[in-house]
Amino acid sequence: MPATAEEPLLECRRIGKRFGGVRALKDVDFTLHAGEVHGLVGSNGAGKSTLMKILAGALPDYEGTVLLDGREVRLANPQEAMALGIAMVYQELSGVGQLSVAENLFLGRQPTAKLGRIDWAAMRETARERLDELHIDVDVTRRLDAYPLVVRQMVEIARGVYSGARVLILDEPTSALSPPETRRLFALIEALRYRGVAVVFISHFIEDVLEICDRVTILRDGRRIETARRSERDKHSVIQTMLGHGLEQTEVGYERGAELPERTETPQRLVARGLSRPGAFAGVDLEVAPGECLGLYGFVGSGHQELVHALGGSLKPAAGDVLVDGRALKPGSTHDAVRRGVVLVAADRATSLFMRTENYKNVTLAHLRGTVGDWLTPGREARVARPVLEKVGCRPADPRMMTGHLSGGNQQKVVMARWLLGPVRVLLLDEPTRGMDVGAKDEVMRLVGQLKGQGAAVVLSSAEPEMLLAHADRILVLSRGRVAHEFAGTQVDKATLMRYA
Amino acid sequence: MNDPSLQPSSNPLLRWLSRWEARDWAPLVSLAVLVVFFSFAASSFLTPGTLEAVLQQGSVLAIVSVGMTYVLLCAEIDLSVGMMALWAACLCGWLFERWIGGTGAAEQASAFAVGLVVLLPLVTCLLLGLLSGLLTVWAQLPSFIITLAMMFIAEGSSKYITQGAAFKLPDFLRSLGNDGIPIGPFFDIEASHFTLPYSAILAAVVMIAGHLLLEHTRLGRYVYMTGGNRQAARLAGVRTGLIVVACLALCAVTAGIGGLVNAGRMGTVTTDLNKDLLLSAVACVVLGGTSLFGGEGGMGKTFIGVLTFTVLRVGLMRITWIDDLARQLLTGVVLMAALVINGVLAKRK
Repeated sequence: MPATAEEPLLECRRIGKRFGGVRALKDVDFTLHAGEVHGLVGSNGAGKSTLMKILAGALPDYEGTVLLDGREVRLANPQEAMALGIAMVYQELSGVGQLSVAENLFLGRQPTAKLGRIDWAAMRETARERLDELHIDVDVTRRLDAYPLVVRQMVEIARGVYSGARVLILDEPTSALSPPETRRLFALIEALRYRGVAVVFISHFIEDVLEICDRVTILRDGRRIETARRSERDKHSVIQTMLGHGLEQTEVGYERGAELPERTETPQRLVARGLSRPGAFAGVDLEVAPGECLGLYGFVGSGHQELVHALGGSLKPAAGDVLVDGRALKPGSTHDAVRRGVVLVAADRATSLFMRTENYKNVTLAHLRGTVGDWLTPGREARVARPVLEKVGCRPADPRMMTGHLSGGNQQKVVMARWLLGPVRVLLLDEPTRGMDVGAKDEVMRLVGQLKGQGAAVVLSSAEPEMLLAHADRILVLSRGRVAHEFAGTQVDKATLMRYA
Repeated sequence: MNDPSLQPSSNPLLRWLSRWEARDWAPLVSLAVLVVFFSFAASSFLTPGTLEAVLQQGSVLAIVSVGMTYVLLCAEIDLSVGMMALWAACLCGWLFERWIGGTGAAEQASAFAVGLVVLLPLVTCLLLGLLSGLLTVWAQLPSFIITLAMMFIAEGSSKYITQGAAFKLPDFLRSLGNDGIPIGPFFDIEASHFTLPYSAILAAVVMIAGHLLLEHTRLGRYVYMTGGNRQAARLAGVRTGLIVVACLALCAVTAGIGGLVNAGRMGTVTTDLNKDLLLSAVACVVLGGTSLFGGEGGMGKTFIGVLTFTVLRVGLMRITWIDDLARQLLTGVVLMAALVINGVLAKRK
């Protein structure tokens, strides 16, 4: 544990960043000592990723100054940051699965013998030594993709360290790891600590942060709220600070929680039993009644998104059944799901729409037979599409306009319009309003409310607690692929939700 | 969104015209440039005989390109079309010899028997196309690989049943490949007389049917959507696997029809036919402006592509001072230039 009086390895002074008119970061101070593990926490949009992207050199036009060893440096691009000794390990790993562990460790700077020939023996030997030093026990000659995610992460970290990194930024390193894997990763981080490497540990998992980090910095709304020693804080107080409870009571909406209604004894519309998919979710049971909205809450990577896709047939579960009105859906068949009125609205509009075609084609696609008939003409299809485009409030509601020319919110309305052409018995929503402005959000959720009122069973998956508190009648919290808690008929607030995740 | 250029006009004609962009015009311009060039370069170019030759030579390519358009639109490829065409012709010749020709009573052959001799090869093409499609979807392999293997299977089968020998074909096919309906002469001008080849009529029927199926039926819509964004098509409930199978099956059948017409034109079947049919068909479809990566294009574009390609080939034949052996080289050079120009224009939005 370094003494705080010691000069910091890395110091950020009054860092700020704007994206157009939006302030992502303002006057953030941040210090990092050699051998320190420093946690960085905050809700979605608090500025964590903006800060780390600045440090990694990915956002060169930031405000404020960054000092390395007391000297001012300008992080103009990722290569420069790397040369200065700042390396980043992303959630989506960049290692090459088809190459061996040793090759990955030396990616781009293989040891060469005479005539520029790669010295394979030396490479294997050095790789083995270096991984041994870090207590990473793997066969360096095997392909990287033969190993689980945690090993790939550890190899990536080792690569960073041996390419001269003194500051390692880990983005959500534990979100997809099982508890024993997390232990392995933490052992590696401990080893780095003794080598004097400074680690920035960014995570939604507050327990993990409090376990491994010496200090933790809490961001909210682009500002640093505080930096505390681990010993001073517990999970509850960190979450309170992240959310700003007790500090500002002015925030409106669902900051203070919501009252969930009692469950009614209606026959279930959608039932899932023992749904599992390796690496995503395991043993999930759930049921949703007509006219009910079930919320699925979890951090990014906790499996709730994949679960929604499995319910709609767009992902095939390894085990378990999905039943609609008592009859099983064909697993992995969106065709069967759509035919039975089970429809999915995905977060990413690009996965559900054809951008380079007219709106009417996107709207009529799922219900061509029932609405347009056997002979398709642009005129007929436009006549079918126009009323629903108007109904969902798409602006402009022009069936012949290119879908790609619409804004994100209006594109999602086109997706909603598509489903309004047929019966919707189960409406599955995966972050349906991601990246939309407030007005568009409200309009999309108003449509969801209407379908719910007409008797659709709704499943709403989101990593935003506000979203669920505002719209869900019941909430299941998923943590690492398992149902951690069910909230029904009680008072629930953001902090409680996050504590179970 | 308030940009007036994005607001469609209320005038249907203007709206139709506004849908045309540079990349849509480019193939037509290439065709026009070629026609103008050949008109000046070869005095014999602007004659009914040239039109006849273009129709005669383009018809096989047009028929094969219909199926290829479907396959490329759904972002797959069929490398077996050339050899599938060969297989259809070889089987037809073999059956004809066995059932009809061998008896020396070819003239009295019943229409039913001839019909069977012509239709059976097409049925086998359909089955082989279905097989390619099902294997592509089931094994989740690129159609490139599966149809490459199918190409060898079709070529091998052709060589096996013919044992390298040449076979005669039914008169019906020979007539389809060579004869036509005489038209004109108009205004008593002897030179305006020409023959509309039966093969061109067949090609027109296949192309129009292909166009209507593509633009006005659910199958056609699903083909576009499967190629444009397979994930989105799946989320909308489209059985994208089935669409891929349908396209590869359809492509095998049009290849078979093309093969029969081509063999009919030659009069006899030999296993060295159709060597360059695959690449010519792909070139035609892409020359017309259909994307190799799926979702964008159409039958009208393929028509322009086939016409351009055929005009190039026929036009080069009309320029007498070009060395015979240099023609293929020139075809390649002009083709490359046209593809690059069209491709660059397509990238510009």
